[in-house]
Amino acid sequence: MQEDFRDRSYRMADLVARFIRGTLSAEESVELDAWLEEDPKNREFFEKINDPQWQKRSFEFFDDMDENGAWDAVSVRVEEEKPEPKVSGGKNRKKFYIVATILFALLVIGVGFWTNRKDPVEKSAFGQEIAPGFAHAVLFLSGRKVAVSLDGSEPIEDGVASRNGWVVYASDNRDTGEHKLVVPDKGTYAVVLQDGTKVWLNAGSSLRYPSRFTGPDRVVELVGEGFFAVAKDAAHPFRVLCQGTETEAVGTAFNVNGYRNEVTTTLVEGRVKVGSAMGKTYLSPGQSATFNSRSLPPTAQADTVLATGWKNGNFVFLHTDFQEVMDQLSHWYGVEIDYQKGFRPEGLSFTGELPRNEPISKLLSLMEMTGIASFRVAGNTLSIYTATGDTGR
Amino acid sequence: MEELFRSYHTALCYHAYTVTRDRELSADLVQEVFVRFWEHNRHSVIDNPKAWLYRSVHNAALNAVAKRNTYQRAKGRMASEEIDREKTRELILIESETARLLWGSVQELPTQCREVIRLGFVEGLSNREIAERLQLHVSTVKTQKQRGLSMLRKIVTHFGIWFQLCHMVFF
Repeated sequence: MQEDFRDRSYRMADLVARFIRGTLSAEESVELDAWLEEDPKNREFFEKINDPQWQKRSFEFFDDMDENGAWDAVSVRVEEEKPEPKVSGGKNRKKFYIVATILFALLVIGVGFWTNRKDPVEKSAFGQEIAPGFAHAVLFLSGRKVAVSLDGSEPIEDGVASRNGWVVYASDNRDTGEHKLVVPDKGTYAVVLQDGTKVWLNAGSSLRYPSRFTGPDRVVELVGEGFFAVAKDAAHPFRVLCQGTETEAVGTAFNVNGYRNEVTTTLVEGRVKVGSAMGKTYLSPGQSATFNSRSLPPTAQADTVLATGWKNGNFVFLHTDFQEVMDQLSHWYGVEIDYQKGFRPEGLSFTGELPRNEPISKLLSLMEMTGIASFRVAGNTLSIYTATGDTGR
Repeated sequence: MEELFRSYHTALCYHAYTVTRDRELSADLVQEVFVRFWEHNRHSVIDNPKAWLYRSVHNAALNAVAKRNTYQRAKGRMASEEIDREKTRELILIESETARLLWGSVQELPTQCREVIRLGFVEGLSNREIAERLQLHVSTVKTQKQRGLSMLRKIVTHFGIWFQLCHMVFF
């Protein structure tokens, strides 16, 4: 029954679209009329579709959509995961049992080595241990993609190389294509752009930028969180676009965090202008501004060490909103956050500092000590309980 | 998955928006659905991806509205519409699909071509104004208009012409 209505719906949509375009055949016209007769709601709907106002509004919806940005946001979450081998269904049972027996034998042998190795699926007081992220990313160039990581420093193409966690563009690089550096969850990487600007990207982020800057300004597009040390060039302003917000500078250092539906720019040194359709504001060092689509930007005093700690390899939290802490955790450790019954993150904050290069249990211990919550890790999920809640540990 | 995404993403956002009336929420929602789709597809191949996506988005949108209504009720405000009826659901689907069939390829047109359509259809510029901006002869525009006029309804003349014009000029 479900499938019926859907197929029919696709058919009717096709007919209606043809009608609007004026390419409806005589037979199709009869089919459409029959549908209109079936139910007064159908006719009402048809009239709505034929209203120029609907056509204009729906057209604008499609025209305004930032598909590239949306795809970036999704691809960052699904990239870099190896496809799991599909289990073949039901056949070759005998073969299956033979393989299973061999595997079991290997497992028995393997147990002997088990305790001596540092196994990735470790246990901790919280259930499963999760290793911290590490430097790796995927660089998309004209028509191909290259995985980059700490091992190996190699040239990628003329004027572009990967070294020690950095993708480096030579200043005399001549390619003018648009490139994209995608850092998955559990990853981090950095890039020196053709103009000398350095950009550090946090886990679950990506940056679109031209291989070579031409034109009156230098424009890049960010998804997630990045720290920018902009090379000085007063004649060519550097602009970071993120979810409808634009941060502009001529030579300065700042952090842009666009993990959620709001964008926070924190200035470390220099001067920047941050703007969106809602308005704009200028920042001085030590200030930050947060934009979301619903309000004018508030400018706040900010502790720059907090916002930029990640770039230096540390978690730095000072009365940091609990959900923001969870954001950072979820991207760096690649875990999904699952708030358990009764747990209210609103209004909670956490203060603490520790290196990022530690397994997740270290940070969880620190947090549990403050009595803010109880945690449990299973698979890739971090479950959060009230401090007195039963985590089953 | 990119192809599937590019084909249906906007239509799905439109569908969600029709239910939730919240653009941002709709975009987030659709993003989640695609991620879930990708994960689901890794374990068991999905038979009818299009239907799966529309169904998931619709349900996610309903849940989001229900959550919002519950919250608002708690604050003393009552939910206004009851969207969960099969007929309405069917019509919302048809609306989203129609919009996709009509405007889906707008994103695939070259940037300049899209601008042309925008100028003519949304901003309502005249032939002469368009021809001026595009650096084309008005006669070219007029010829196209004549050819189209006999087949198209008046409202579509605007859109249809530009679409045909674009195809003629750029393809």
